Amino acid sequence: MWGKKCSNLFLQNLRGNRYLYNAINSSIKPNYNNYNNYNDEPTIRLKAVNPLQRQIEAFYYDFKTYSPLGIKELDRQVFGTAIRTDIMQRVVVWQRDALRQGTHKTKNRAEVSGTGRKYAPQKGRGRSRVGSHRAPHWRGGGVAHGPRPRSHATEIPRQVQLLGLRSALSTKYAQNQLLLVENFNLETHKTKDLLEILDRNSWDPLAKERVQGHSILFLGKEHMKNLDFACRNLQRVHALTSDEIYEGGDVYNIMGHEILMMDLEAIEVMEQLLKYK
Amino acid sequence: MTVFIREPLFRYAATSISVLSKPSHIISCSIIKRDINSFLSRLNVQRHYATILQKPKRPIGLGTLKDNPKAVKKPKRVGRGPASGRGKTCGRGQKGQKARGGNRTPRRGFEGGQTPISRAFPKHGFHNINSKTWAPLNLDRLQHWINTGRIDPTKPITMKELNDTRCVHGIKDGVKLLADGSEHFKTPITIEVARASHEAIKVIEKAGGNVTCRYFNRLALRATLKPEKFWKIPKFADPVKARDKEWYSDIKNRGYLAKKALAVNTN
Repeated sequence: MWGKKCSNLFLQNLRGNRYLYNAINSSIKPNYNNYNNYNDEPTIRLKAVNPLQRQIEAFYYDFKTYSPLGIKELDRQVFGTAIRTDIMQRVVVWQRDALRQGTHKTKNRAEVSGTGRKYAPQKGRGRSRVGSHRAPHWRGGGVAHGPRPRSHATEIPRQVQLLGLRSALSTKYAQNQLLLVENFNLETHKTKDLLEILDRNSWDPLAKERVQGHSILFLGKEHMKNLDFACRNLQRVHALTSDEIYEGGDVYNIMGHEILMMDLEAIEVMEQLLKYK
Repeated sequence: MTVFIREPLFRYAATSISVLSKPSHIISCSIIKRDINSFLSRLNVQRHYATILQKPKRPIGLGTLKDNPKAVKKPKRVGRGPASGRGKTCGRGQKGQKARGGNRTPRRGFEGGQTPISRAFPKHGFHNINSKTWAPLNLDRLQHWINTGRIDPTKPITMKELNDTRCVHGIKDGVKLLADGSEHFKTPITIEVARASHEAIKVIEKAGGNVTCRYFNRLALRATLKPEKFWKIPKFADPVKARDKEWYSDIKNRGYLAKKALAVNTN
């Protein structure tokens, strides 16, 4: 009773302020939709559920014969998210900033060769005062505010890097450029043998007609000696690990290759690392 | 022959496949998922995925990435001639203190030239950089947490469990076990903390338990309390300071170094 009286008094004072009055009045009133007075059974509340399936599906193939072996379920958070070109661009710019050598340099007035002698007497010449011969406005003088060796590296938040990775993988999936294989087991380390497999399966990096992509990125869980050696001398074919991609936030390499070929182990590692925890 | 596969309505239900043998002639059939592998192996499949997501309107590659319009602000370029709008005075107005170079907000603690308070009075006090602040945990509180089911005594207890169940608050350098209310303590537990008092060790071992005191540096402490923040749990460092080494290799303190040495000797 006390509480009710008090609240009524309080509300009377607030009548002038319509917004506050409404806000407080609605919060004081019990919500009859969720509250059941007559029996003690808890009422059932319906929760909104995402209509999309959690998993998306992809075929996986045999690496050598390109024959489909089955269907692999992928996490939608990692391989089926929204494609954020702006985020990917930021990550790529950040990566390429860090790649810049930054060895550009010009000589300033102290570094240009020449004497520091006073070039003309201070007074009595009938012309302007002159000091050093190598001042920036002189011919042969040093450069003012010129480029100096420095690091061009910038920083972006880690979460943006990870979002960029998710978005890059999703882009590859949506554009039909993500290719799952069971494993990358090669018998030899010869480039010729690898090229033969790629040629047979129409992923040839040296193909003259651009039927399918020219550049390929192999992603495994760990570095494999045969695969690394075989693709070492191919210009557009590279092999990396999923850990390397994750650690470096490497959107540049994923987007820089047309085909992204991952094995099942790498997929699992990637999913575990990139899932929202 | 090309095959198009639609997204299955239910994950374990039949997947419908329509086969286009000729452009005009469409055969559609449905097969159960476990048979799909044998079916697919005989055909040349065009898509690499079974689920169809919306394809981007234009192909996205390195060349087509771009930021949102107006996301990046261009830097202000001053002193580039009258046509630029910021030519002669560079937006600084006419003469005065604000028009000169080096005009900045004063540093923190600067009082306009008056002797600042930090220099007006002599230095006072002492800050010990070696001191550590232990979060105390008394045995009666731990027993209460076990009795109310918040901590599981059958599993080894670490500082993570203590922190997660709010048994200890505000862990700075670690948890120290203390023996207040030790007459209530009855449960045998295995516990690993940073420090423990001799009385607390005695009581826990009398109840049939086991205490280990471990050295935690800042990284190790963070990795124990918040392992979800790490994608790879780092190796826990051993103490470097002589005082710490001595303390943790003393069996009286149930130091982990001493226990390790004992285990090696017995083997």
